[in-house]
Amino acid sequence: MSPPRLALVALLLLAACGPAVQVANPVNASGAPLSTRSSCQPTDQDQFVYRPSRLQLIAACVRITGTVVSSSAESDGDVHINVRLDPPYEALLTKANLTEQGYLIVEPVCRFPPLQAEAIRVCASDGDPIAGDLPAVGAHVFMEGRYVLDLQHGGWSELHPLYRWGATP
Amino acid sequence: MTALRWLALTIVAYAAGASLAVAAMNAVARPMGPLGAGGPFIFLFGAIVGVAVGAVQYLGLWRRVALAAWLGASALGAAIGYVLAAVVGEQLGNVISPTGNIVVGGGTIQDLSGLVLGLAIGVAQWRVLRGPLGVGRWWIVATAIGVSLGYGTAAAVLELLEVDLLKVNLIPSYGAIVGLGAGIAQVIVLWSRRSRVPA
Repeated sequence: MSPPRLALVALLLLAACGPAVQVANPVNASGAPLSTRSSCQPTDQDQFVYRPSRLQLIAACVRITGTVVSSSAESDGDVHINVRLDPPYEALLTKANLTEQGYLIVEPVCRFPPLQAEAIRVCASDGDPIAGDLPAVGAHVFMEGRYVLDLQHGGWSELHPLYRWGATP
Repeated sequence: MTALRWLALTIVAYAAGASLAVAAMNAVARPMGPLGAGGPFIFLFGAIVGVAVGAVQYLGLWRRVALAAWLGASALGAAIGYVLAAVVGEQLGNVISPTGNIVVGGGTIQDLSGLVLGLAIGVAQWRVLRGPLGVGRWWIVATAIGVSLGYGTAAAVLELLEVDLLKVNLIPSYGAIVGLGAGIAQVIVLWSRRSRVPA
């Protein structure tokens, strides 16, 4: 098969791939009813989470406040932000979060084109990832995102994807 | 030309390719992302990687192959390879359980995706190299295996090890590790008895 034909076949195969869908269940990781703000609204970033089956959906949108402890880029195009939660939100953590020093993980997705293969197409389709700068380490912020358990990492809790954030006093 | 020089060039080539492609596509190509389910975006991303890889590796092939043919082959190979790797990676991600061992599951996804990428680059580059340098089809096998191992190693090192220097320079580090795998494998082929090593 000639290279141009091979490229065409590859593009058609790519177009046939699509993300899976999960259903919300508004309780926290311990099974207790989850307190969510009615103003917390998801954005279109949900559809740009690659390999969605690795995340167990708990609530479609949750707002937290806390302090950013660290932030680093990942090869899947996401940014991994560790947040020390303010006391009212600590119930969102699971035992598995202890492997991340007891911080909540917050992940804005597709901040840059990923190198990790399973994320390439999904992120390539995201023409409008969360805009602007991300919070600096040490900042006290509110964050809104999809509350999930990461099954790949023992079920630690995350806001993934991050929908929006802002500074708080 | 020494084996060490080819290895160094290949490490720099893949590091530069990854860095350039990520920066360029992030800066100017985001709006084209949703077109064709991301296919054109990935194709262009891979082409940029391939041009950078070809340009830097050409320093080790100076005047032994035609520059345009080498750059074109590397770009087309990487472009097709990235599109195919994206398909393979996504499909594997859908069938491999997320609750399994992350090293085994994630490693399988990265290694097989890298294998496809390396295969495409290897085939394209071999078609240019086979005449002037007498490089055999082992070039294809070596590049496929080298990129595969490089991809798996890069994902594992950057996910599992907390090395600040690598984390801070994530994109070039990823590319450099992939280049290390490809470079070692290609050195073995280039310096085999049957190849005519560039002077």
